[in-house]
Amino acid sequence: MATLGSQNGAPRIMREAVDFLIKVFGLLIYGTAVLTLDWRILLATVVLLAVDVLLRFHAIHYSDAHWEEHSEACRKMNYLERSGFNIPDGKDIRIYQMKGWFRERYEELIRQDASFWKRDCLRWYYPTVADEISGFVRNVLLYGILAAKVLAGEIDVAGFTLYLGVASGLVRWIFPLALSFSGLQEASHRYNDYRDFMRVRDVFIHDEEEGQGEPQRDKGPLEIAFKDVSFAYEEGGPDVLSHLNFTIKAGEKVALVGNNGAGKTTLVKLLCGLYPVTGGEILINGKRLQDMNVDDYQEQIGVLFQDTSPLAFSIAMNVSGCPDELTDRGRVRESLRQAGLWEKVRELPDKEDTYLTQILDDGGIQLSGGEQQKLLLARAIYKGGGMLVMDEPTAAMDPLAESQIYENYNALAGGKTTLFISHRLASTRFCDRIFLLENGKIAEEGTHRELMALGGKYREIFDIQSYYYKERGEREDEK
Amino acid sequence: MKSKGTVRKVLAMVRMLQPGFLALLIVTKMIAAAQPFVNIVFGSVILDLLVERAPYRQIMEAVLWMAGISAVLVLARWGLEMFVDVKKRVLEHRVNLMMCEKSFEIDYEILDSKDTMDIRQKAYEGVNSSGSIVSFCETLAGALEQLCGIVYSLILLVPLFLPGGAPARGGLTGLLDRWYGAFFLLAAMALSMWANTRVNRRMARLQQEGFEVNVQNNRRVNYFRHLTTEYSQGKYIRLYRMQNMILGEIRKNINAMEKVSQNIAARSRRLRWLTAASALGLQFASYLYVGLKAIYGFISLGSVLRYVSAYQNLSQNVGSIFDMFVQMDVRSRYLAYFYDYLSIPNQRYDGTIPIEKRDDNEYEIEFKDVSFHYPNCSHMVLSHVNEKIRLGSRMAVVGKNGAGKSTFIKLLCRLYEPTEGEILLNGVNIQYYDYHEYARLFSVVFQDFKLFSFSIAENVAASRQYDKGRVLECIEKAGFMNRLQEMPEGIYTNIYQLEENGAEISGGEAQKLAIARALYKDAPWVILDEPTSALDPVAEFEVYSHFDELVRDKTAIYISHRMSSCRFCDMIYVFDEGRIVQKGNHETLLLEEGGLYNRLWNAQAQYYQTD
Repeated sequence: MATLGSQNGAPRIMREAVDFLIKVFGLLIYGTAVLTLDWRILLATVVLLAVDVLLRFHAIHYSDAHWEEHSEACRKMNYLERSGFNIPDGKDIRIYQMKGWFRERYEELIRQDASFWKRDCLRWYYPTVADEISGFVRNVLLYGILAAKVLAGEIDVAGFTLYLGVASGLVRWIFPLALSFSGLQEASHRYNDYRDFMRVRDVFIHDEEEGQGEPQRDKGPLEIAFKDVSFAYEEGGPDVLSHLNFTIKAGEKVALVGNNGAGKTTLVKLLCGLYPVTGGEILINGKRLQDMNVDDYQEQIGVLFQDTSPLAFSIAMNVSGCPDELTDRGRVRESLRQAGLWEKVRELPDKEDTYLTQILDDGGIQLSGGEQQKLLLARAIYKGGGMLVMDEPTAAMDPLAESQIYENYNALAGGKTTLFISHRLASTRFCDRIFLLENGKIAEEGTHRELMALGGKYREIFDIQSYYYKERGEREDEK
Repeated sequence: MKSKGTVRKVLAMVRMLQPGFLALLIVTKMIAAAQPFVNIVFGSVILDLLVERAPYRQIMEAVLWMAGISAVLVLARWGLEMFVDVKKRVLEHRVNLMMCEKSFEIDYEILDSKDTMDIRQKAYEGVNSSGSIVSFCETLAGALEQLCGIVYSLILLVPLFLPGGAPARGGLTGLLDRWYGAFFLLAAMALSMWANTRVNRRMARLQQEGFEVNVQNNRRVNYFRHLTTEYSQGKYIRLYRMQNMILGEIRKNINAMEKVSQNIAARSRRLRWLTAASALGLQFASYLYVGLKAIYGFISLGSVLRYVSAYQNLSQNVGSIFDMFVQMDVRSRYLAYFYDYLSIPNQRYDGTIPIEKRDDNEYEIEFKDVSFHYPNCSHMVLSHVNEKIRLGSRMAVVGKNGAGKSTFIKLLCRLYEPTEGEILLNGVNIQYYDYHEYARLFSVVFQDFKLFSFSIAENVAASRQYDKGRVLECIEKAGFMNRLQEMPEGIYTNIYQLEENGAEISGGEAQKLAIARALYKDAPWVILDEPTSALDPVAEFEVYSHFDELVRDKTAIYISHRMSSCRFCDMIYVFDEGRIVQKGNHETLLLEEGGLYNRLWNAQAQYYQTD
């Protein structure tokens, strides 16, 4: 926020600083000239300056204190405008005739912003009033003194004009100086935001020197262990995960199932080193995650999350995550093939160099939901590593594509440790073990057969989901 | 875009959006124009008094008048400027609102085109840089200020050119006394003006050049900036170490923009010396003329100050007025983008027939040989679709990815027009219907639906006002009630991060709200595109079991990859490569061995059979 626009923040500091120096210099010259004339004039001018500066400080202070509040209305208006420009949102907006709703909200925001602005402007009027009052006094004084000198014969009319010019000149330097100074102040306040942001400390270890032990560059599959892990998003907030204990052996394929809000995605984020645990520890191949260099660790894992939009770069860059020069094309194509997207990409004129969306390239294309998911899968495949984590990777795929993924699961996994999260219990058939997560704990664990035999929560969910897939006859029986 | 026409248009718009602004602006400028003249007039009076050795008291009286009037004018002016400032801001917001509303109104098909994106980007940037309505008005008012200044100056200058009291002399000095000596001054003024106008024109042209080029670049910069704040992308960027790639692209962009700016800066630098030179020349000329007149006794000493100042003001004002015209021309060109955007036609709203409200709900939609491809791509997504759909049925639409299912829906809702063929409602082409009415027929939950960062109640009702009871009812039916009860503020809770304590809701929870929204609208056609993809099995089952109740007497169209949903639909359409290849109910379709339906079904059902 601090560097947004060239009106504020760092660029403004640069401009104002130069300006400021020029004015100081001019001030010195004129000030000396006026001093030689009559010290009272200089005094009056300086007093005037002091009053002006004080009032301006007050105004800045006020602006600062209310910055958050005042910018809120604008921030929200920006949000509304962005929605207007966002194309997918446009569907809902038209079908549900949301124009009226947005307009009302916007008008409210305009009113809010106007009232804030009025208050702000008033604060800035005070210096002007003070200026005029003291200016009045100063002018009368100046003319009075000079006129008296002329009448007394100390200076002639030409001198009168000269000193008049010099004294006015002084004013011309002094006020902009005060303005410059307050401008610098304001800009530096904004700049502080920037500095604070740059100083935000990392939670994990990123630096090579600080990490203990060897960087995890083993190419083999990883062993994951959660020991008494708890996690809450906010301090003092409810635990999303609570004293979680499990081990995934190297090369094992595990399915993670559970209802919405049970904590599945959170577990994945902890596993990926995106959030630190609030209790307990995570061990990767026996070493603690919080003691490792997290960048090296993340090199080892390929992840696929639920929210699917790709970046507006080329397909190849989306898959490799690298600039063009470093992309391994053969590997990109292989990953696309394995994910089931290569047939489509092969047909495109620019193949894998085709851009997605038209933001960066006019010739860009749009992928459907299922295609986007395949793209993300290709990205995870390209990365390789010792672990593959997939969070709902087939949610948008059609049955045939989905079943292909399941059938090729072994090939996809390729000996890596894999964690497969899905609502679709069909996927659990291809996994060595299944974890059922409920209320932040693992409620049931075992193979598909074991859990069905157990007759617990897993069985319940499986039956619900398979209900409509069974033949009429079978369903009647179960009733 | 001719200036005259633009001026009238802009003035009309301003008067509509923010009445009183123009009047206030004019008064403020007139006062501002008068400011410098107080000092000029009184200054020369005082000087004359000093030369005459008038009594001190008289001199001080003049001083007091001068200081007093000056102070009053300044206070008045800045007081008014305060009000102008507030009105200015409101005006700017209202203009942005206009642009925002326009983007809601344009036909979706047109919105979704790259050309529109570009026009809109240009309009937005134009308005926010030199082409804003506000700055246009300020330029106009500025011209007025200059005009006032000219009038005041001329009034003061007239005595300068009249023959003085001294005896007539011959030669050059005599020339000074003649009124046509004024031509010397006029010539100097004209020369300086010519130089300035040339410079200004060129600078303006340079500026606009840079603007055009940067529109594209700015679009990209905005995207990158957006990336840094989107935390869903943040996960991927970190995990896949995409930082370098993205930074690389950003750097490329910045370098391009820098080149453009440098080029323009270099060219404008060369023009500046001309302006400086002409200013100096003008000063020299004015002091020379007036000074000589004073030396030869044609005018008093005190009046030298007055005339020189007045003359300089005059030239400044005249120069500025020409500059204003150049500015207006430039601003009109930026504004042109804005008007281009506003004048994009809304074809959807050309239709006028209202939809007859039918109590018997006998609506029938027919697709007559409809084919369609998206504007940016020549591949036919739908191909010769022929189908009649009657209200009151439950339909499922299934098929592989990219088969045309979602597109079918979008055409049905009239978000796009068919490339070939037509769509009829009760026998009439839907293009003839009033779009507002037509849209009322549909409650849709799209695959990429959007909820907005306002209160839950508003989101469900899609409006600022709502029926609380009905909102709660719909939330209950959609299965969101449990989650709602966890929220202390209930339906007044704001979702997402725009507010300080906005609640975060998961993908599945959002889907339930989207369903609630569809229910609230209570339209005869309910279309659900993958409505349970983010729901867990239990929640999904609940939606299925209440489905009958949810869509009681409406037509429901259900697109899903979850083949299980076909079980409770009367009619299933199977799409493949843009055509309807099979239709019927579950039992009949299953019997078609080797048919697409059969394959889709088995691909999923096989995993659910008990061994």
